[in-house]
Amino acid sequence: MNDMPARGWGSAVFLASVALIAGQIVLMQALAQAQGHHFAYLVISLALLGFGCSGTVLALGREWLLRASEWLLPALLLGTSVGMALGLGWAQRAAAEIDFHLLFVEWRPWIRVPGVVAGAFAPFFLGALALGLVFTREVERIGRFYGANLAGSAAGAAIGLGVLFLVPPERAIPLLAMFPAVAAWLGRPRGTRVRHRTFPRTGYGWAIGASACLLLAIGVFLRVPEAPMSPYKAMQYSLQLPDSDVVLDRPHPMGRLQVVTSPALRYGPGLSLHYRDDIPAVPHLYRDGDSYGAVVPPPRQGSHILEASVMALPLALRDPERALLLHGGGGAGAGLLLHREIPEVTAVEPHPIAARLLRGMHAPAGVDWTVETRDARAFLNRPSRHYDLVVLPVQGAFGGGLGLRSIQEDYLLTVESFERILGALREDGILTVSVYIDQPPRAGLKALGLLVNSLRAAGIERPAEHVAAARSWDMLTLVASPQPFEASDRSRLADFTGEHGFDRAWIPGFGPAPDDRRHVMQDDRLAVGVEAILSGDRQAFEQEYPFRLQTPRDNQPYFHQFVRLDRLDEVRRIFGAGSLAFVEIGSVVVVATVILLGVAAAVLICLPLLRLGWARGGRGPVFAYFSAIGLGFMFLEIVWIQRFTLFWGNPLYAAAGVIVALLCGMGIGSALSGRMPARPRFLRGILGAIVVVLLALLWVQPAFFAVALAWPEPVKWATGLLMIGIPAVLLGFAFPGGLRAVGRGYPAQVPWAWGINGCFSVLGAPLAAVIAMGAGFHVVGVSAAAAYAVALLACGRLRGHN
Amino acid sequence: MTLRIDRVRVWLALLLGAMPFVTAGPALLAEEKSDSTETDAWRQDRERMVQRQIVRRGVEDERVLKAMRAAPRHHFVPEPRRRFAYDDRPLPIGYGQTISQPFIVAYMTEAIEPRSDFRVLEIGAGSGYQAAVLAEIVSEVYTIEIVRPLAEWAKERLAAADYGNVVVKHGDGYHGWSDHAPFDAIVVTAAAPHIPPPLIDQLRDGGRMIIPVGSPHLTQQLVMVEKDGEDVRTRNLMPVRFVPLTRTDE
Repeated sequence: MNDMPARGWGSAVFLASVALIAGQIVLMQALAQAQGHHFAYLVISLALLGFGCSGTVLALGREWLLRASEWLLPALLLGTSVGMALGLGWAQRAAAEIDFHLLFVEWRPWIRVPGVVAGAFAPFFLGALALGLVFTREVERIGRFYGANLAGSAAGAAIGLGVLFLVPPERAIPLLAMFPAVAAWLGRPRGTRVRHRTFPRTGYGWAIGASACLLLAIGVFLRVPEAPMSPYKAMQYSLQLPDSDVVLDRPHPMGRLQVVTSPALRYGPGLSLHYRDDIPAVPHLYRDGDSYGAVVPPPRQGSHILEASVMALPLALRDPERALLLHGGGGAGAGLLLHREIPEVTAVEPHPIAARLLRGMHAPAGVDWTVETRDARAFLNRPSRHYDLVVLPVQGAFGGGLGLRSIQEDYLLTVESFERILGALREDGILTVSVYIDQPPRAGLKALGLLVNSLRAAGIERPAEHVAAARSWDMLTLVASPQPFEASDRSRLADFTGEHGFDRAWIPGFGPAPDDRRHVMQDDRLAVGVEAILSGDRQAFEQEYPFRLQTPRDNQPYFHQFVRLDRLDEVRRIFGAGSLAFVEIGSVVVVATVILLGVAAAVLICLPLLRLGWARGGRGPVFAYFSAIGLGFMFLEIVWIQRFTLFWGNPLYAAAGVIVALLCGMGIGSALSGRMPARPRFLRGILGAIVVVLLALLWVQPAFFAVALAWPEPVKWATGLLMIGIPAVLLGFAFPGGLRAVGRGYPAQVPWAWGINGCFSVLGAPLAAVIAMGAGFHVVGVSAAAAYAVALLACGRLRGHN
Repeated sequence: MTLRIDRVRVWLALLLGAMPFVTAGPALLAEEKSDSTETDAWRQDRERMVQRQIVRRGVEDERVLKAMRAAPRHHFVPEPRRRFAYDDRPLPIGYGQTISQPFIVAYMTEAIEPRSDFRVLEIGAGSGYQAAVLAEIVSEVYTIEIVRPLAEWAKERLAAADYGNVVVKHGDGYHGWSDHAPFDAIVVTAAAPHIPPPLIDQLRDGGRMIIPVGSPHLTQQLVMVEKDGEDVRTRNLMPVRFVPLTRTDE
């Protein structure tokens, strides 16, 4: 082995890391668009096992791989480039053809899954193998290369998001494939000591190889056809309607936004059956192929369709002067408020393209119409004024959905969020949320429980007097006010429901209307549940109920999660055997991912032991240390994304900010680690400091955020980035420090350690989701500190006796 | 060792020799039933379908059971899948549409409580099978199909099976068929996100409409709509799921 041209390899590591992280982000979006986030989650997790697998391969073929490393590194990077240009695009296409829902019913759709995973796995495996090769060979200079890896990853996170502003994911993938091609050129063998005959001896050969990969990537970029989409996507249904047309198509990291029109595409949620006019055909918005609302502007003449919807209940009770619409989506709700000529209407919409469409909605003369492009929670942190009416987005799906959103955090539907909304209301203002009725009823009852808890948290002792509810055949509309409703409100409620043929689900201060039975459900527990939550023994009802009605809080923001593990038998009885996957597919997927990854990680970690031997030589400490820092890092990243989402207010930018700050800080730490003493005591000190800092931050951060929430955005971002970046410098010592220690004590185990770290980093993400769903994010944070404590205990034994 | 190899060869020869019979057997059997005309075999399949899939699940109306025994379902299933016509499942008929599971057809028919003097509107003719079952019981059936080739297929199949009391139209069922309104009952066999007002309008006082409502690509509730003057009431009957099909077989 000759001395490595560290400069070229450092740049190669940097560029390869850019491609791998940006590739993950773009592939996630591509798969979400093709099939859905739940599927993307599963495939990406399996594909990232490429990192663990690379460690296994390195451990098994260490000597040969190290001997061949000079030509193997650029060859692997060229493979990564080809794999990205062809494999990732193919994975997206193949994913769209899988009938994901049938995976839980039949075995046939599974045939296609390995193909999708293989297409996604190949580039990550080859890229990770290249990185692992560098780390294994350069273990003494690991700090420098690991620093380049982290810096590249941070840049990759930014580039991955940035490219999605410009092009859809299927076109972004080949662009990213250029990075490893350039990395291969930079990492090419230098000098004349390359002995392998089948690979070029000179720079020309590598230049040709890299150029061919660049040309391939350019070719794919220019020729890539429109990405297909699963037939289960709502947009696919709309496209099958006669004369349908996509009139707007914009890529964005927050989701590709498309607008579809068709003369048969109509919109009438919660519509009265007394309504006899035509339901207008309106454009529908789709984000990554999923419904994002309908565009229903105020009509030039006649009434707005939602006037005849149960959603109009708050307007029957109050004549608001200032209304706020949270997460306005397509603007159907805004259309109704504008049609009513409410003097001041503000819509808050986080997706910039949807916000732009909303802004273009015509407002009648005399109406002050404002659209804020922000996340609702960020807006609610500093509301500039008080409102008469706050409208939340419609929740759920009629009859019940498939539970696609059960693992998705929703910070708008938590007690803390509702408390802020109630705080933004005028004395007699109204908060309203409409929920599609599911069978058995779940979402409506949870929303009501959330309202009641929030009213109680706001100091209201008798919430039953502050809540009114009406329902159509398909939708329940809830309204709540800081002031108790009066007799005049009760009579307006009766007039409204009578006129439209709705049922009164709750008359404030009275109860459900027993004579209102226009819309009978198969399962009548909605009425029972409403009564129990507002005036009966709520605790007993919720305990008995087969679904989880626990009120979501910021620590466990899972409004859409309903399945209770202790009542699975009952759920099976209600929906039929084998149907759990159709009730809450998101939770099933995350648990299945943990199991799959756990099994795969066990195999990948045990396999090298065939060669290294099962006992002796510090296997235990190496395993404990690298699995702990892999899990700890992932847990920490997820907890911080959750916390900074609430602080900064935008989930996408918060995730990007946390990842970039974390990786930059760790990169600095890693680079510094090379200059630090290689004594175990030093590493122990660093790990001890990490545990203390993490635990301290867990308790200090909420108090700090409570104070800093009202600060100007740039200050909030700067302090937040520092709050992540500074402790991240300490975290940056853990991996290179440990690897260096292993390199001195048990050099043959260096690649094994890399593989263990890779496996547990990948396993950490779904495991954190499972812990957060069951016990909350705070417990995930404590687990992160505990993982670093385990690493602290193991680190002293990494060097053995050599 | 030689003996073992010889045994393997013998087994291989037997297997290869038996192959034509193994593969041709089901084909020969299927051929017997592949013709769309009525045969005893089809009749037996239908009887079995009624007993096992429909009566056992609680459909009791004798008129409906008689209609299910009489309507030749296989006649409305396109050839490649005809041999599965009496299976307990929906079948793809092309253009992203399905012929509903036999039980659902019987259940929806029973739910409208059909009488011989009824005029019934069906939205979503599809293969024409639901219309045929209705036509066995009521005097007039009007059916609308949005996909033109399917409307033509249903028209041709219904005529070939001598269902002279069924009128098929190509068009958007959302608007109903006002020329023949009011209807005693309306059966909607395509999932809709809401209940179309024109259909309520075209329902006779005291009439019933059964409609699967909900997300067209995921789950729906089968809803019974009953009209009594201005008052319209609904009853959710059961959850149903219509699996969307890709349009590759168009």
